[in-house]
Amino acid sequence: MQATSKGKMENISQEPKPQDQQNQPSTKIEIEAENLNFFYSQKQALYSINLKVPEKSITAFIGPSGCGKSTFLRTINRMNDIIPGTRVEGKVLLNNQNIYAPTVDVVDLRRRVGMVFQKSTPFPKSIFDNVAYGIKINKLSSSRAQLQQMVEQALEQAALWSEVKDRLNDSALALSGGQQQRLCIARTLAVMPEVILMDEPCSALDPIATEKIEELIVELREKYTVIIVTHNMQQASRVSDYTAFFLLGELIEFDETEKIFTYPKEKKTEDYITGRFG
Amino acid sequence: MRKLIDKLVFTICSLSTVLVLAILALIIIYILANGVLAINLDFFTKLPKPVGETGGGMVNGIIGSAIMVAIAALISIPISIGAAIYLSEFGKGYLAVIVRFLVDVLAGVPSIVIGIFIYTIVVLPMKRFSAIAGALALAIIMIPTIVRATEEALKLVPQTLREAALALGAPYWRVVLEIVVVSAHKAIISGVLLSIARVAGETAPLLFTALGNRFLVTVLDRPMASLPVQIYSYAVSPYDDWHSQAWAATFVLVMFILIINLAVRFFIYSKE
Amino acid sequence: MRIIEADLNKLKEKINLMGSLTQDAIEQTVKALVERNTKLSEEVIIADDKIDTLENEIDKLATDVMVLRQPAAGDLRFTITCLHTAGIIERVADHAVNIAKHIRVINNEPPLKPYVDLPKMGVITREMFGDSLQALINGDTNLARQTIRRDDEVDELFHLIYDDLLVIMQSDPTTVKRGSELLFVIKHLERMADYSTNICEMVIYMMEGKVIKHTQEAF
Repeated sequence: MQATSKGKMENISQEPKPQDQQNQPSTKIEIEAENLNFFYSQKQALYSINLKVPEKSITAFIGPSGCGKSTFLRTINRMNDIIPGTRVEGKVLLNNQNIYAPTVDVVDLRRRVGMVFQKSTPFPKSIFDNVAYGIKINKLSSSRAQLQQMVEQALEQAALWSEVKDRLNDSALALSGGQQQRLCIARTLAVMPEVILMDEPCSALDPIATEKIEELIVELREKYTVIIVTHNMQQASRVSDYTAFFLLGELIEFDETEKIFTYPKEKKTEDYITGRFG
Repeated sequence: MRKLIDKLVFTICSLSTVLVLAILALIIIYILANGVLAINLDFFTKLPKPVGETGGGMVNGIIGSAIMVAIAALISIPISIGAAIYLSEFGKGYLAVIVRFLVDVLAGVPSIVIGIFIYTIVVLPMKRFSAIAGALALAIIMIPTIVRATEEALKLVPQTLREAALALGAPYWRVVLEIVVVSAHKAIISGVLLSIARVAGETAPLLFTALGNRFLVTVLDRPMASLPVQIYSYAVSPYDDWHSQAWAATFVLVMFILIINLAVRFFIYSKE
Repeated sequence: MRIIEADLNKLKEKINLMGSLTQDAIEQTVKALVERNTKLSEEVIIADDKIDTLENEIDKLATDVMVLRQPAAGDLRFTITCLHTAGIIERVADHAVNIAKHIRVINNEPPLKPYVDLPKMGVITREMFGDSLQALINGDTNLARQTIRRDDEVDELFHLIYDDLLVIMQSDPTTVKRGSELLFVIKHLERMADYSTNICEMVIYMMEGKVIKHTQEAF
């Protein structure tokens, strides 16, 4: 949490000098959508989305239900592929490589782009095996000792290790909701992704568990590019560096979070975040 | 007035429940009363005595039923679970619709028709009643039950669990076998157990296939005895001793089904 | 209606009331000065209590809005503007009170000379404050920008009167007391005009999200 607020303070103090912004070191773009259209059978759900997400940043997608924010999130790891009748036009670039190119291995793409879901989804396995599953599948460890060490590291990163280290062989289903969600994050981290997508990761959690996850998300920015879909605008403003506002399948506005929440350029964004929407 | 109707509906529903329970209780008490008297160690260990002599048991029927149900299960479980996985995880097109329809039709076919079918395609060419024919008939009866139970169980596995596994970079077939089927294993095993309980009591399909045997056989190409068929033939006989043995067999069968049902209940509600 | 709307309206009403009272204070001070009416200036001093109370009320209300309603975007900028502006208005009113206190001394002495530029400066200052308040209430950035430009007129008059007073005091030492009191008065008026431009800057922040204070941005 401290990291964000500090970052924001610096930005505010820079604001009176607009020329500063041009001089900022140009950050590397991790994810880029180019004229992305998306269809569920006949129904178009996304309309020519253009978006550039810088690496090692946290981007929040906000917007009312059905605005396409989750759909867009799921195009980034091609999770929509498993829904019959869906169709994509345009490009999504991950490190300048079009993930919809025919040569792309979807299974490997999904390892590189991890995903955490709204409902925590522990596998009906032990805590250890939940984290180990992805490592084993992707053959990331060469020995039992290395596997154990990777599991520990992932749990540590997800701020769960101290809570579960004495009961790694217990069923993951016995954990609390917040712990399960952190387990799911640990499981995602264990396969060493570049990007982490989060689809409303706190919407089923109480405020304390939510705060823990939010702190975790902010820490993840050190190593990963994080995109989080949230219905909670306070959450978006608390954790994210950039915010994208979607409405009816269109990207209305994308900017630094403090700009979106203090002076959005688009009236539709202003109406939505001040609750005039509807 | 509203209170009155409320009470009336409650009373009618309660009475219906009592009636159902009463019928069930009556059946079980009747079977218990008649069966317990006739049951003894000989029943489980001795072969039937020749006509006219009293005593003897039904060891041939018990073993026969066990063998045929076991073979039926071995045949039907892999086929059914495979088909259910196909229907739940891969079946999106016309083929799935057709398969699902056929499974439904199969579930509705009277078991005696299946007996006749096996009689036509197995017994007639072999020119002999056989255990394998009986097992095949039972397997066909088991298939739709297991397919439907398994498909439902797989469909109850949340979609996000599949997506979560896919998101870790798991290929779909591994997700299905290692995550989806494992998540649904309780419901699948329950479905299998219930279908076993059901076919254990089937009589009609065995009449035309396994026929029955007064001796204990363990080879599969000979007629084989089974509890339900034996109950049938003993019950229609004119001998009192056979009648009471039929009761004993009925009692064993009912206890078997009851225990399986209890086991399923216990299994479903047990924690990991 | 949005829940926050009622609170924002209440904030606006209070700012408007506080501004009007302050404008009255400026008007009365200038009148008391020009017409040498000490009684009127005493009223200004008494009336200031009400303005101070309003500032506290606005501070509390704005804090409540931020904590309880979590305003965003336009709502947030409006709330921040109210919080900020209440402080500025309160200082404007304090300057009016200070002038009123100097008037006590000045009016005990004979008039220095017929005031010409001083009433002009008073009127412009009062108008600038009135306009900045109106720009705030109506969200009128054009009026805000015009008002900021008028600050130069006040500065010009300040230097004019200042030089004038120096000449008078150098030529006749008996005028030094009255003259230096008047120097304070024009300094206070000049500060009031500056605060009015600060209010106008907040209006531009509120409406356009731009922070223009301490910048050379041309408008």
